[in-house]
Amino acid sequence: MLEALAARILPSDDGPGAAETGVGGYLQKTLDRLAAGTREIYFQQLDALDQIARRSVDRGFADCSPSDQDRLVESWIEEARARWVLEQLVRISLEGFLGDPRHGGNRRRLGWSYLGLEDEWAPDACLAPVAENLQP
Amino acid sequence: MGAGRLPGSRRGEPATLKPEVWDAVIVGSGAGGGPLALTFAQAGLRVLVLEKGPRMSRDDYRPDEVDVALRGSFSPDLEQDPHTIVTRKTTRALRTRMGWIASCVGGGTVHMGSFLYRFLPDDFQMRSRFGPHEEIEDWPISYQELEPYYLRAEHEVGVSGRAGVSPFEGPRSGPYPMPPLDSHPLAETLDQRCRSRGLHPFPTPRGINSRPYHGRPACAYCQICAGFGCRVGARGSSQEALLTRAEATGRCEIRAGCMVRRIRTNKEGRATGCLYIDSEEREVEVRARIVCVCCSAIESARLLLLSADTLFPDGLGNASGRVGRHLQFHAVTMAEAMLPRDMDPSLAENPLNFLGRSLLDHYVLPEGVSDLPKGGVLRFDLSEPLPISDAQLLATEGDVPLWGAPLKRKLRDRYAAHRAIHLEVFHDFLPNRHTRVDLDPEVEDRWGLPVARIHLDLPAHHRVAGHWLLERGFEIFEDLGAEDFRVTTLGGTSAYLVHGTCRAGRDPETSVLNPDCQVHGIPNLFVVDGSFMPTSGGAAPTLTILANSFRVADHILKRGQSGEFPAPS
Repeated sequence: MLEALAARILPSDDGPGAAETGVGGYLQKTLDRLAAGTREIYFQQLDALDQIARRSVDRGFADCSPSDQDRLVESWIEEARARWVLEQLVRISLEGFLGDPRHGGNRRRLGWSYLGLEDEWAPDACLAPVAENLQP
Repeated sequence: MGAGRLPGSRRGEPATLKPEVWDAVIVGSGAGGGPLALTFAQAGLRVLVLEKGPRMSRDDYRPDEVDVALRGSFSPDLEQDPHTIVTRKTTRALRTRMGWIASCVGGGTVHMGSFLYRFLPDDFQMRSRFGPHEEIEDWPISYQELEPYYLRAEHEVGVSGRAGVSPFEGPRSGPYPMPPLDSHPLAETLDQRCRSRGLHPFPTPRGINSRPYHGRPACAYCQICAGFGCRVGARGSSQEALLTRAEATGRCEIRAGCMVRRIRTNKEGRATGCLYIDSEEREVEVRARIVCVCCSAIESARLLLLSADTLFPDGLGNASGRVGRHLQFHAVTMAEAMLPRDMDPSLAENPLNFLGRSLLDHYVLPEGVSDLPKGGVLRFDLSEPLPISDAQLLATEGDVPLWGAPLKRKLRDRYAAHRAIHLEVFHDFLPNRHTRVDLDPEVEDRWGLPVARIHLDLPAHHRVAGHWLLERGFEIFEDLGAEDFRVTTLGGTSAYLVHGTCRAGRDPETSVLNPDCQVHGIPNLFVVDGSFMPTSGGAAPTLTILANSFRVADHILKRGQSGEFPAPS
């Protein structure tokens, strides 16, 4: 479910998205670390999205087509709490997409390269040359 | 080095061994503590530096936006060790990270942007120059008295800059020790545009090596700099430029992970040392001839208040009830605009982010802008890539969060098609009746001590001045052909850059410290950080804190030579 939603937040149509960069897993890991009460709010709202899918197309959100999923998300976020949850999930997805790969997302630095932040433009660009310069 | 490390005692148990005695104990290792440690150790004193945070090394300073910018890895945990804040909008104190500069060896200088401007002479005499506004006051020292120490600080930490370009700067007794850092070619265009408006752009002085200096390497021009630790060692942090040299004398020991909970005094009203809790939760007493509190303005005031005892029931130096009053941050106005990469080949080809240009032309505002005609310094650079923060801002600025293909298109357009230019204006935060710090009556830190509670109120001048200064910045953006201007903060409050809680002055009735930063009435206790500053100045204060600390160090040494600081009894 989270994987499927992540793929709609950051789709892969014009280059790497959530699927290629491990954003779904990053979302899961981040939600797992939340305090139980806060986590519950997320899961209630995700459950609501799944219910909307079942009522409207008779299957779970994860099994719907991407275009159906986009439509379902639109209808889901008419409700204020769902909108808040989506906003948080967008924030976390962007962390997963564009954070240092050592946190588990931005696999093969594809998030950075999607933005054109490769090689000398990447946030960690100084790491390699510095290590060389500091050799005695 | 002095006596070996004592085992101390578990909290609540009496110490079984005799406490160590040092010449000076310094609480805090940032811009205030570093100059003292170096000057004392070089003069032959045995110095102990106690730092609450951990000791990190160059390799620990990864340019990691998730850790540093989002999770705030330099400041303490909000659950374990918060500040709290009360504003006009709060009904009870809320937990905040505000005012935590950095908790680590080197303090805030580890991640500072290192914009090491001097203040101008006007900053030292705000009240005489501009008349009464809120609670502004003159400083007990002048620019001329501090000038030799500005020069000394610039040489000790290593500042790259060029003197004499701006006609507004104060008199100087010598040049910067290093030429300015390299700048992106767009800086030349910026210079031309500014000059045709009659302005005087000059290279932003930065505490970053433009060439190897004092055994540390030159800047590697990383993509990410301000707000992150320096992996190269090119930034003149207290840790790199001062503490390392203090330790090399063999007379300075730095203990990390040590939380000082109380300054101790004797019945003669002299400080005798302090009690701290070490990283293994043992309570340790150390004694010293001289005690210096350098925890930054909020935590230094808190420590004085936490040290109340029978002789000083309201806290040390607080007979006048002024410890914690006149807390100031910095007023900050920031904006960004987009430069299309195809506008100029250098924008697409040259990844350097330093434009390194500042303007002092608007330090004094024209008549009619605000009741107080005091402005600040404008700084221009290309924005460093903080892709997560940028993307989160773009995604969440509307009523409905942006997601899906429209989000991705917007992100790509921001980075692949544009470079962002950044304007930052530092201007005065006016000391006022409502903005202060005290002990929170309810919230305690993980050691069971009341935390610092910030009361924050913003005089209208911050927004009024910020708005006018922003318009001047926007004129330059327009001249450069930038698009999509975006105001990040208008007359806002810096999260760090704290000053003023132990105002220095001549009259013990209206100040906490004397002009040499000694606590009134306690001859061997000094507060040496931003706490002494009666007003915040119109530029970032770090160089002024460093310079003043060198000045106070000389003063203490001079008094020590005349036998003023006997061993504690």
